[in-house]
Amino acid sequence: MSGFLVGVLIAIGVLIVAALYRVYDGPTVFDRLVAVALVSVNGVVVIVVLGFAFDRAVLFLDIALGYALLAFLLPITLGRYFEAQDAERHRHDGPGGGT
Amino acid sequence: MIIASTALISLGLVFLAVSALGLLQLPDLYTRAHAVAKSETLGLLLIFAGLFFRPELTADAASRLALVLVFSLIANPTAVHALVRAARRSGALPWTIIDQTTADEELGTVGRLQAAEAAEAAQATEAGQTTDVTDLRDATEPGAPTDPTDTDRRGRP
Repeated sequence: MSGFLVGVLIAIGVLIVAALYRVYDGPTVFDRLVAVALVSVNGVVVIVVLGFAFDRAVLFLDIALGYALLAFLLPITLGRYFEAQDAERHRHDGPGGGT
Repeated sequence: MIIASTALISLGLVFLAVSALGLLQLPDLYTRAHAVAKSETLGLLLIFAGLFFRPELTADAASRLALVLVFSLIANPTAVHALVRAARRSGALPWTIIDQTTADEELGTVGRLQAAEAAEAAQATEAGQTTDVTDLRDATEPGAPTDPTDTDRRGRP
């Protein structure tokens, strides 16, 4: 367990917390989803670096591969879901529905 | 070996930090997505490239690390691209320098705001005073033609 890798893990943890502020604050749901995509990718990096820090790289890399697959599917699926939901809302409002 | 590894991982961390900073500081969804899609992918690539030089690496781990690297390299920009495409289709307009109220715009209130500002400016010019408000009118007037989609949508009955 090298000290440098622990420092890397702490730094990425700080970046994840910073990105979570955008998840909390983001004005639209797509801002939140972009921030969640960044947190997921940072999570993959954390898992891989943890594997090297614990000297169990093979095990952790398998987990990281599965997590990367899920992190790839999550923004695509939720993006399509919210896109359909917004289209539905615009259809109900109709053109010129505001004011 | 260990020096090259440390240098590459540190450089990757710098790029991850730039990505998180861009996510926090940039003004709208499209610029934030640009930060996440590109800087984040490069930082991840550099960190994984640095891990290739670590002494803990075995042959099994090297093959799996290459697999994770290639997959993330393809998947991360693709996911962000699909997300931004969904946002564009659901009507999020890009940020411009003129109207800095992207959130209001996405809520559909910018037309009302612009109408209120124009009415205020007209009243001010009638009264012939308060240079502040006329300055505001001068700043917002060129913004109106740059946003034709909103006025079209609003002008239609």
